[in-house]
Amino acid sequence: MGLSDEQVDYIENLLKENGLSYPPLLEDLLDHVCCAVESKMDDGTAFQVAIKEVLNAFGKDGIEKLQVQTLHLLNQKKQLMKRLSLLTLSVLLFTVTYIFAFPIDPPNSSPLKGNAKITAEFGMTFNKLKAQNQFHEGIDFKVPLGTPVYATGNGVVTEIQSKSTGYGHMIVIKHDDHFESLYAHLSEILIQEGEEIKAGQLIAKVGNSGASLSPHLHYEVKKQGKKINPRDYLTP
Amino acid sequence: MIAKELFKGTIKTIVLKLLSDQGKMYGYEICQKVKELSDGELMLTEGALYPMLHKMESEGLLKIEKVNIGKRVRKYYKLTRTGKKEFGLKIEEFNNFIQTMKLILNPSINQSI
Ligand SMILES: [Zn+2]
Repeated sequence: MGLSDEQVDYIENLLKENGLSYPPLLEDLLDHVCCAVESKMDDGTAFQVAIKEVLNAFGKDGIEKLQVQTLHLLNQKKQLMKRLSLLTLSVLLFTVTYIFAFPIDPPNSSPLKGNAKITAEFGMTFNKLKAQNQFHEGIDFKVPLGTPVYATGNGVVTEIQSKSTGYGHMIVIKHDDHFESLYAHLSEILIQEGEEIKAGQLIAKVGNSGASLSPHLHYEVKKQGKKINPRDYLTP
Repeated sequence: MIAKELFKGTIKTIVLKLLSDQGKMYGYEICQKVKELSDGELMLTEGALYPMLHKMESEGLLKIEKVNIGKRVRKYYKLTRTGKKEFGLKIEEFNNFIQTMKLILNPSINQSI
């Protein structure tokens, strides 16, 4: 047999008086208590007696304890989620900071702003001065004396050298933790060591200094200290 | 009566098992069913069941279907897809536990295998 609306209201108020206030739990327990009371009334117990028996079965403060326990379990879960999202946030923050602090930015513009003929490739080539095959650690561009040379990426000038042998007048620019670029056989150097350089900035003029037979630009790229083929990063 | 502590850890498994068999059940029904199945041996008290139901719902193991009955609402609990997966894991976990306990309590079984 089903309880009347008034009886259901009465039970709901009793539950609230017993400290039940969390709505989802109130819904559950109202139905539960109503079912239990109905079952007892079907066996011939009077409403008031039935309800007393059912509530007593929860024990002293049982309903309130039940609610505390429920909220505690749900709160544990929320705390865990909070901790997890905090962890995600810090990982994200760290990644972003890392990317900004150590950008990977290969030097990839052209040192002569395009249209320059490459006369010697990276790799094994014949060295005219030494008259023998040797490993060519960069690429050579044949251009007239005084042709402007531009930085191939953002960075800082870490080395300027002026010798009558080898690279002659030479510039090294460090771009980031990974990349460096080198410009050799220059006639004129227009920047200082330690200077911050923007990609495409005029840094020198092509020359014939050091071990060079005719005006040309010798250009190298280092990735993590290892010389690599500059063509890999040159945009045509 | 089975030891309270031992039982606490298995409420979740029992709820998963019942809902897996019955499809959907409401709280009072679950309590009654447990009493019936365990022949009164296991007392699934409301005090343990309802907090667990709410926790399992918040974990995404259960979903709720509400039916209005006059002035009250009956909440049917059903397994979600995650809940069904969890049930499989729990059974496996429980069987492993039983096996381990058997071996610990009666090592001679181990020799006869
Ligand atoms: Zn060269």
